Amino acid sequence: MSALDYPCPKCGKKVGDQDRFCQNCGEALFVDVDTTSEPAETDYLCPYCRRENEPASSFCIFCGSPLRTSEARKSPVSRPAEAKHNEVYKDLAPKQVVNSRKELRKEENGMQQAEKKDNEVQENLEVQEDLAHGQIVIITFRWLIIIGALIVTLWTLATPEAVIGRQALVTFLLLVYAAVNFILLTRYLRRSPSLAGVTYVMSLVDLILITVVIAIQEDIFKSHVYAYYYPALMVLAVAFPTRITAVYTVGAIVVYGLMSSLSAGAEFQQILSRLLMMAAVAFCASLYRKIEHDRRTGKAKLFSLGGGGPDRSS
Amino acid sequence: MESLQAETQEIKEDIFFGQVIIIWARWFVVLGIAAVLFLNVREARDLLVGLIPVLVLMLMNFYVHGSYLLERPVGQGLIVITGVVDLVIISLLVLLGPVGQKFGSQLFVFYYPMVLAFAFIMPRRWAIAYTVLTLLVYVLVCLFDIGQIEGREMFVRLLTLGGIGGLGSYYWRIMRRRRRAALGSASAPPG
Repeated sequence: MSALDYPCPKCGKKVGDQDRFCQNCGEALFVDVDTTSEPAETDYLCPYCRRENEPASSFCIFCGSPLRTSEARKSPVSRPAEAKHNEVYKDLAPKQVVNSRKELRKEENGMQQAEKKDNEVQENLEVQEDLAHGQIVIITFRWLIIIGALIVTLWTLATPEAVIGRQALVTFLLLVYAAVNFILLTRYLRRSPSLAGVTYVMSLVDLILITVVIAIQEDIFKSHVYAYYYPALMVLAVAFPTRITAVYTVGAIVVYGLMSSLSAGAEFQQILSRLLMMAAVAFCASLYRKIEHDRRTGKAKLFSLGGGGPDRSS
Repeated sequence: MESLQAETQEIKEDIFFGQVIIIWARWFVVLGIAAVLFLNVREARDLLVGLIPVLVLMLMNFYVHGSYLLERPVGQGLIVITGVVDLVIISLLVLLGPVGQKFGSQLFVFYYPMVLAFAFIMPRRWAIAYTVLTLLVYVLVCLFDIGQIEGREMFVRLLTLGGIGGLGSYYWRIMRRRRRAALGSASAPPG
């Protein structure tokens, strides 16, 4: 900054006459209007208040700002920011300049918000697509549970410990569950997949069912039904957003962990390994979903740029 | 010929992008094995014997993880070899492990993330082969204890293990189709 200071049109802090940008707010400062033309009448316009001065004046008689010489105007240094700045504000008085800047900033903010909204819409679309594609995996898993449970029920019927009434109830519930899954499957096949809420609720029902079946066993810790948690968590992790997957997984881990720990004869190491693997399966499936998302979007960009995709395998 | 090259390239990219999943799955397994072994130590010998599988898996995973971080991920051959080593180590733990043995061992849960990770990154044939191999090895290990096998429990374990491999591979196929569609629309001329 030199001794000949004048105020920055944006923040009002003093700036030097040779400064191109305000040291306080970074505002590009007025320097010249036309960098190519010969010295003319406009050479004697005050760069700050844009009023005409006498040719011999060194300082503006209206606002006291230093007036520049024509040599300074012919500087070969490229100043795109200044040029743009001057283009926008050249015919405006200081107050109007401030108002125009405010309007410009408003416009910029509006554009940023619109971009943000666009991104949110895009994200939502991605989530819906993930759900639509993941739904069929969830439905297939549910068939796996139903068939497995039916086989085990029939198997139990053939054993002396079978309680007919209980097995009949279980079979009935399984058939209801199968009917619901069939409806979901038909919706999917008719290309009108279930709404996100329905899918979330059904997956929660899956986890609750597994938990209830474990809870009604005589020995919760020794019940083998917990093995169904692994595919259940895997299928929801590939279809749901990470946050929801995390909530479901943590919920299942906490509930099963508490139930089995409180059971008689529970062994801490074994419970720990079961819970850790539940977390591992959900984490890996969620990670895969994210990787595939990145691959799709990233690769599409590469192709748009006209490349065939680099050989990343080397 | 071109489609074959494109498919080979796609498989390479699957392994390139996906191997971080197998790396994380193995870290989880290492943590699980370490927790089970070290919480169960009664003699110094138990600790020494328990350290061997943990160290082998850790060293293997350090190499694979290091290569991945240096952007020189390992190829398909090494992924298969490390997958087989995982399978052997987990099966040995189930067979001779400190917490129950053979069918009575609960350490079979370590198979789940490994089978899933393999299904996510390898081509379908390889994923199915690995899942079937895991099931066969597990059945074989349990057969050493044939008198103790409880049929329904064994069925559920095999069903869920096979299910996780099958569903993983199914989802992999869906994602491949989706990716191809996305690439197709991106490379198609506008309009």
